[in-house]
Amino acid sequence: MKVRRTVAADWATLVGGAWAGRAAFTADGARYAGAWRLVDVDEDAPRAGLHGQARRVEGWGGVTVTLEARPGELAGDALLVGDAGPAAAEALVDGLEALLAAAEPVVSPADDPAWRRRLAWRAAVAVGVGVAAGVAGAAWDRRRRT
Amino acid sequence: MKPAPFAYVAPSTIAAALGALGEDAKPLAGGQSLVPLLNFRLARPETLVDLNGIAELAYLRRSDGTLRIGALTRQVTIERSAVVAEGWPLLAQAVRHVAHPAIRNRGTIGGSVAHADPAAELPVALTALDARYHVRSAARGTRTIAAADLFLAPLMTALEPDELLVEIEVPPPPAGARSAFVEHARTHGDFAVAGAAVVRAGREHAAVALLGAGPTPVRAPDAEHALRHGASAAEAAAIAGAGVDDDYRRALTTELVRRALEEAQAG
Repeated sequence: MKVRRTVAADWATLVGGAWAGRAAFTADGARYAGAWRLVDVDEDAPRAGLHGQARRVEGWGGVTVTLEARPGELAGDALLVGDAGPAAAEALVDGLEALLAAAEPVVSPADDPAWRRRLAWRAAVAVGVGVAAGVAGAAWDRRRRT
Repeated sequence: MKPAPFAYVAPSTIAAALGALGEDAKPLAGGQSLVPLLNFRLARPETLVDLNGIAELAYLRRSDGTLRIGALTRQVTIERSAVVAEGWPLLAQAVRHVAHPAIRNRGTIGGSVAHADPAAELPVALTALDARYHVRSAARGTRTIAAADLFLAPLMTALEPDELLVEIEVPPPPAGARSAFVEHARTHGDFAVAGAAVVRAGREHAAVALLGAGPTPVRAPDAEHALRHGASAAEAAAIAGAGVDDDYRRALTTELVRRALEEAQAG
């Protein structure tokens, strides 16, 4: 069974992998439990591999979804065993979307205003110390010559 | 048996883990080798440093053509990875011989390397691929160890007690490279008696790494040289096996190298 979705999560969050975790849902009246994982990241492509699996809490049935993620898009295959139907695969992928939506966005330090302010202060202090040392050195040199 | 008493530390950052490591501490990754050793009381660390909470150590990434594997990456990840299947199929071929799925779900790549079991598959495959190991310690910072220098003896590596393996870097294989991993174990999933990992790219590149031919994973440089100069699979296999002491292992290694070379050639 083919699976295809568009995702709103930004690429850095998706490949950060912090969203990975448990999947619990109900499909066709049966409860399922499982997990989603980030498998690999190809920074050269760019693309990422995702793997999710869940099985029935009671009874016999399981679903495994292997997805390839590209920026804005998820596509892959679902494998159903036992009494699990297509609704289970859909619900498992819905769970992934919920995990991605709930994930804290990965913010690069370069984009963090607080970090940039701290960096600016440090740069100002470093420049100030450098200028002061230069002025003092020049003054000392002048005094020594005279 | 139950393990001897130990203190348990579960850090969530690499820095905290490095702080806890030392002479009488052992890092715990997947636990598929260390826990049996603890239970048999063959290992009696005073402190067990559980690395499983350090998320930053679990990743598998290709960047600038190089494969970077975090030490805590589970073995099953290699099995599932499209990046590995496409660029480094030898790793995917080797990991399928590692025990059973339940063990590969929990066992880590870094753990397999750091444990340095002479019958382990992944260190042999990584040796054939010229992997480099990045290790870190609180006192001395980071250093990189070449595949040939890491394994010293059975269950012994060049890692110092306060050092932690953090990343395995696998360079891109040459263009058009083909690989094969072949081993013999009495039952599938059991410790292998002998094995061979082979990477070939035309006449220019040949890498042959042997499992069970010595106390550590070893390359067969003479066989590689012969392959680069036009030797057949059978001739190169005979050269690779010649250095093995035991008669049975020599015959087995020779046969397995021949099969691996022919498999790689067939693509």
